[in-house]
Amino acid sequence: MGDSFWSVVVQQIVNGVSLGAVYALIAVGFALVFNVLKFSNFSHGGVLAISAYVGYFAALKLHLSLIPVLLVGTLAGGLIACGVEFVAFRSIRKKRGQLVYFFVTSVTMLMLLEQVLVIFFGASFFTYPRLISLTTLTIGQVSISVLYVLMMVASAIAFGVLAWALRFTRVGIAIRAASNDLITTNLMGVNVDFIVLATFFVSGLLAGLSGVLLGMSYTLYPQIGQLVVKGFIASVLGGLGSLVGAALGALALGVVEVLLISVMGSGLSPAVIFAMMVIFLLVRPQGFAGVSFQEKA
Amino acid sequence: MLEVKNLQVAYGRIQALHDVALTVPGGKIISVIGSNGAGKTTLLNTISGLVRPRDGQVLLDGKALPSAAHLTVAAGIVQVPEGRKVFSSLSVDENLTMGAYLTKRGDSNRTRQQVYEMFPILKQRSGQAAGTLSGGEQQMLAIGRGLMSSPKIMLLDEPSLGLAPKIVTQVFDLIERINRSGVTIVLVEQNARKALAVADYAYVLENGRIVLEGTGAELARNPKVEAAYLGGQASGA
Repeated sequence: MGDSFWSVVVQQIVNGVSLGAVYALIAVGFALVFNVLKFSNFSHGGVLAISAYVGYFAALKLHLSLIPVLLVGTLAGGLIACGVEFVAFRSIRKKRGQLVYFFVTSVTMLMLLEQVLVIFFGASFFTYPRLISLTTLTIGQVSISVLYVLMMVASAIAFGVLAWALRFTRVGIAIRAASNDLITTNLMGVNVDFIVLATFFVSGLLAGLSGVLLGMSYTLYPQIGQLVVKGFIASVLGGLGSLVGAALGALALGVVEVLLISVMGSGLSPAVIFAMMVIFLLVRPQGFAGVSFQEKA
Repeated sequence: MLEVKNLQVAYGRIQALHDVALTVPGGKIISVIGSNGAGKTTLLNTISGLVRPRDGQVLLDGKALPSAAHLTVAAGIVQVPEGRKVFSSLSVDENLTMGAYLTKRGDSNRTRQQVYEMFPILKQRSGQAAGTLSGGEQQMLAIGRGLMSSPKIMLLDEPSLGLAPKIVTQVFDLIERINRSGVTIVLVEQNARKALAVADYAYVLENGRIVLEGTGAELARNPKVEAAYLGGQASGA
């Protein structure tokens, strides 16, 4: 076990954290909607995918540079998610439909949004134009690509803004209240239709940002939205209901995934990850951060 | 003044309220007593706009109330729901902020000071997650949160539920104090003895119908009420 072994490990952890930072964006966006409406919203992946394409065309056709592309993709995600809420979920909510209807609708919306991309752009792969330098930064024996630095920085900024908004803005506090109890939030004079829409908007912003970052780091194809599964796994690991847990779960998932791929290749590692998830949930079903407060009777 | 006129409420085919009528004059305490499942919560939820009636009216000062819950709060009617329903992962202070969701910041800061003066324990715990409070403290917070909207009328659903007798007495003292400060109270309770003691006027709800009404003292002396709602409690509490 020489220095080179450890520098490889550290290198992989850095890579894993960068990947995990983007997974965290997906996971937290996924968890936001889960917390308020209590269903797993797989349409999040469709929002992610379309935003990734929006970012791509903004870069290609409008020749926007990095920051504007990120902003356009992020905003697109927010707006598309609002559209999805309005079209797909609002009427189920008004009719007080069972949770399974929400879930099935969300999966359907994921497939629908994917097919929309196929119809317009075909099933082929696209590559983002080069928006950032391809160089790597070297710190000691660890090198990190500028793209990975961007992924970490962009996620950190997004989470900083999100944390501030949830803590200090009236709508942000109301989103957290709605995560506790939507009906009582309504009794406070809060228009819950608006709060649900706002939750989808914020969740969609995160989906949009993660979509552009993933589009830049991988190639772009209609099924890119299926990466929402990573966010799902992460938020389950973190403890459904906790945003911090979801983010931590995502970081852990990124690191484990990168380490596993370097050890056993990308064919086997997903199976191992799912097996680990099952075992983890048997041991600790409430996830990393799954502490729930009880209302005292 | 709040008036409920021939209210009919049904969940699917199950009728929860039959032709319920009651009058809540401004500045008074009106109690509605009844056993579990009598329709007390449904009555409050209908006034609050959470449940839509099949027929009948809820009038505030002669005008129909809006049919959406958030607009009812804007009209000056707030509900303190059964089981406190504090936002457990929010801090005590954030719970109060939620109570003042519709209020301008300057006004809500003043109300917040008043609520903290009324409940010093909440001030001590203002940064703590509401879920960590004791049951009695959560009830204080739920009431304080309701006051944050500066309501004309406060609807209280079973505020004594699950609390120790000493705390129950405190909660009822508090309700009278809030009433003296000018807030009209509609109190729904299984604890009939306490609810009748504080009430200016009271109704007995049974299987979704108002079966008796009168001043709190009259109902407390009524043999039927005594047998059905007070007798058991005399030995129990």
